[in-house]
Parts: sequence; C-alpha cells; structure tokens
Amino acid sequence: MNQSRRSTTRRAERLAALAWLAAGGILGGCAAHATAARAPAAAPVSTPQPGQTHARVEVLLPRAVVPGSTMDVGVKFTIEKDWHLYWNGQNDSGTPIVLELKMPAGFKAHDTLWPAPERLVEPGEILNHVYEREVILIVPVDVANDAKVGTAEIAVEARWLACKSACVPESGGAKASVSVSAVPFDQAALYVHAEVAKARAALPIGLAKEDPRVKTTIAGRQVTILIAGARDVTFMPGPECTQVKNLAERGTTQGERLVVDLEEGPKPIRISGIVRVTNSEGNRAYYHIDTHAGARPEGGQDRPASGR
Amino acid sequence: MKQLWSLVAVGVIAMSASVVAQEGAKPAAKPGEKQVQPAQDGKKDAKKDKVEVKVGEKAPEFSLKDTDGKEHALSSLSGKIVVLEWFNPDCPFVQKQHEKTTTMADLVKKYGDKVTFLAINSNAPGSMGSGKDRNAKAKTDWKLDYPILLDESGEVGKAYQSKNTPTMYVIDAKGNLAYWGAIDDDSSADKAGKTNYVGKALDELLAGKPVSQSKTKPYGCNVKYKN
Repeated sequence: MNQSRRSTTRRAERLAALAWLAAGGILGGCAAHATAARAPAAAPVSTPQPGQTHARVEVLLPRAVVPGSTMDVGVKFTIEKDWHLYWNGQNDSGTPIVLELKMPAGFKAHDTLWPAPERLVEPGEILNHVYEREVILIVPVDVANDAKVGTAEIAVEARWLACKSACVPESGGAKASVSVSAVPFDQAALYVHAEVAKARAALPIGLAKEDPRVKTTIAGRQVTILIAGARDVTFMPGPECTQVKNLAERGTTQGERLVVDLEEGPKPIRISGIVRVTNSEGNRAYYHIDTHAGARPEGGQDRPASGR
Repeated sequence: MKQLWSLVAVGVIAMSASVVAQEGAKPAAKPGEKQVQPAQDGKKDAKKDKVEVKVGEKAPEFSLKDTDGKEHALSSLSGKIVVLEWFNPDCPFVQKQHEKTTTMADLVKKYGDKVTFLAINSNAPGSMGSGKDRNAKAKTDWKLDYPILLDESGEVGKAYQSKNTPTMYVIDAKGNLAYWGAIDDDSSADKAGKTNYVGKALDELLAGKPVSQSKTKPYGCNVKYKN
C-alpha cells in the first residue's frame, strides 16, 4: 500500500496509544471501585484488538440479573480525538456501527437503542450524523426464564468505520459477565450499570400520539416540524425515514418551525428519526418522531420509540 | 483570513452556480453544528442559476486532465456509453473494488470494448488520496487500463453532486445520465455485492432497454472537497 497512508496511519497509531494509556488509568480506577462493591460479577474486559484501532469497545453490564428479566447491555465506544463513528440514520457517506452479541442460550437481544448523534457538515454539502469521543449503544436483552444461576457472559463483536480526514474500517470485541441469581438482591443499583443508566436517560424521548411537544405535518412531499417556542430545530432522519432532500442545508433552522422537502419516491411516506430542539431556556432536548402519510390517514400518528 | 475565506467561497459559488440545486432560503446560522466549510453568505444570490443533476437528463460537461496530463472531455465521447467512477485510491471502499475484490476489473473486462471508463478524483490537494503521483501509482498498482482524471478544484464532482467514493455514473450514448449511485448492493468495505448496479445498467443500455434501477444510494468515504 502507499506511503502517505502508512505514515498517516502510523501517526494516528501513536496518538491512539497515548489516548489508551490515558483511558486505561481511568478504567483502572473504575475496576478497583467495582471490586470493592459486594456483588460477584467481573469487571468488563476488552479482548485485544487486531492492530491499533481508532475506537475501543467495552461491554458494560449490570452486576446482577434475575432470570426472566430484561437488562441493558451497554456497548461503549471510546473514540480517538478528532475521529468519528457513524449513526445508523441517513448519512451522505460512511457506514453505521454494527454489533453482534454472543449470549447464553435463551437470552434474546432487542433492537439497539442509538443515542442522538452530532450533525457534521463537510465541504461539498456532505452531511453525516456521527459520534465523537464516546458513545454507549444500548441493547436491551431478555434474560432466559431458565437462565442458569451463576455467571453469564455477554460477548460483543463490533464493526465500524472510523473517519477523520481518512476513513478506516475497523472491528473489535469485548465481553463482560453478570451474576444470574434466582433470589433478587434488595439493592436496585446491582441491576443497572450506572454509565448505561445515564446513557439511557439521555436517549431521545419517545412521544405519545398527538404529543403537543412536537407537531409533525406532512403535506405532499413537504414536512413541517413545529416545536412551539423553540430557539432552533434540527431533524435527523432515521434509517426507515423517507429520503429527505438537501439535508445538509435544510435539516436545521433557527426558530420553532423546520420545513424540509422529501426526495421524489413512492408512498407511503414515513417521517421517522430524531428531532433536536433548543428550548427557550437554551436547554437541549431530543425526541423520537415517527409519522406516516400515504398508506395511513394524512398526519399519521406518532408512536413511542425506544422508551421502556 | 476571514475575508479571504469569503472570497474563496464566493469564487466557488460562482463556479458551481450552474450546477447545484438550491431551494428556499438558507438559515442564517446552524445551531449546534460542526460546520467544517467556511460561511457561504453569497450563496443565496447565486442559487437561481443552479441546476440539479438528474437521471434522464444531460450529464454535466467536463474537461479534465488525467495523471499523464492528457485532457479528456465528455463532449468528445458523444455516441459512446461512458462510466464514471468517483475515485480515491486511499478510500477503503474504493480499494474494495480494486484490491479486495475484482469488481471494477470484471466490469472493464466485460464491457471495456463497448464502454468508456473514466475515474475522477475530486479530492482537494493535500487531502487523502489526492495528487497526480498517488493516483498514477494506484493506476499502476491496480493495473487500471482507463484514465484517472484529476478534479482538484472539485468543480466537476460538485456538478455531479458526487459525495462518495466510489459513486458511479453511467452516461448513455446520447450524453444523458442513465444511472447514478452505488457500484453494488453491499456497502461493506470488503465484500462484493450480489447485484452490480453498473453491470445491470450497462446490460440494459446495450440491449436498447431503459435502465430499470437508475438511482441507488452510493456508499463509501466522503469526497474530500476543498471547500
């Protein structure tokens, strides 16, 4: 392969190594803290990565689960400075993170819950929705009713595209263990991982039908998203959303009303994804919207997404 | 410096004015957004002249030099079917078509006697995979028997609204755009897809049929435009 790419990679590798040393210090601290706690599950362990990558994976699990319950598996990516990984919604380039979970028999994974990404516009009106620095994807997992009491191991294999000025397809794996106990502990904190709980609380809010907070209307191939009193509104179309036109320029606006046009295409129209809002107090909020038009009555309905 | 940027921006806008579709007013500022490009305040005034590139309509004209300094103009290829491959030798998704799989080589082998292939690199000078030397080396390494054209200003890439490497375009013998999109249906960086959209479009064109799947979503790296 070519020289310039090699030298860029080498420089990046040195940076990555430094970043990992720093991250290792923090992790070391966490592990010590975990050992001091009472429950028996092991701290998450990253398996060695093939070569140096620009992101590092960890699996974050609660300390204990009860058979028949649902737990949040957190898959945390620590991303090298200035690099980004890709959200699974509409992007002009790149490919989203892919997760594969290996779990004991009878455990069942639900759809991955994706945190709100950042909007990144690059020259040529190239728009991508990305994660920088750190992201925790959450996979809710049903613990088998007949799960064996003892320790259950969850292993994650992940693939992603890391980009900065260059793009590198990468992969990595990690695993962690959780105690399976038929007798519930009386400490709720054992059943959640604090970092994952925080990430879940920050997920976009699922809206009930006719929620007054976000009003989405579809007229022909034009969509209006109205949030009364908002300072700014941004729409990030999800993977199932009808293709939105010229999103780099039109996907975000000052004020309470965002109007976007859809690419020509067949009906039904589905408007789904994340709406990012800055409210009048200057606080950020994220909502999931999912509205249909065409097959369903005009205006469709919003349905809660990703809420528990 | 700021002034310089706006001058550059205005220049680029003037250049690309005829090609990029704009509708409606641009918001004054983009909240909470990482904006890599400099502000383009002059854009609003230029938008009236912009034309959207569309399948079924005339493909934008261009004239670019290849890595040997030879000029290639689209107009000189009229009467021929032309395949354009947006190119970056350091993008893993381009490498997939040339190194990890034989996707591009297979297309050229099968259609090369009836179809003209051109690679176009719109990456800015100094960016990943740019420059005459790097591309000449890729041409040798990958034994490409078609030229790699350098579009360092990004003008042609923007005219075609090419955002990815690779993005594939098939232009019919009349000079109209017949296909725009991905090379195949596998967006990974290492496996070839089951359906090669370019091959399918060429089969249909050569059989005198309309292209059944004329637009798909390209996948890959972004084109590293200058601004």
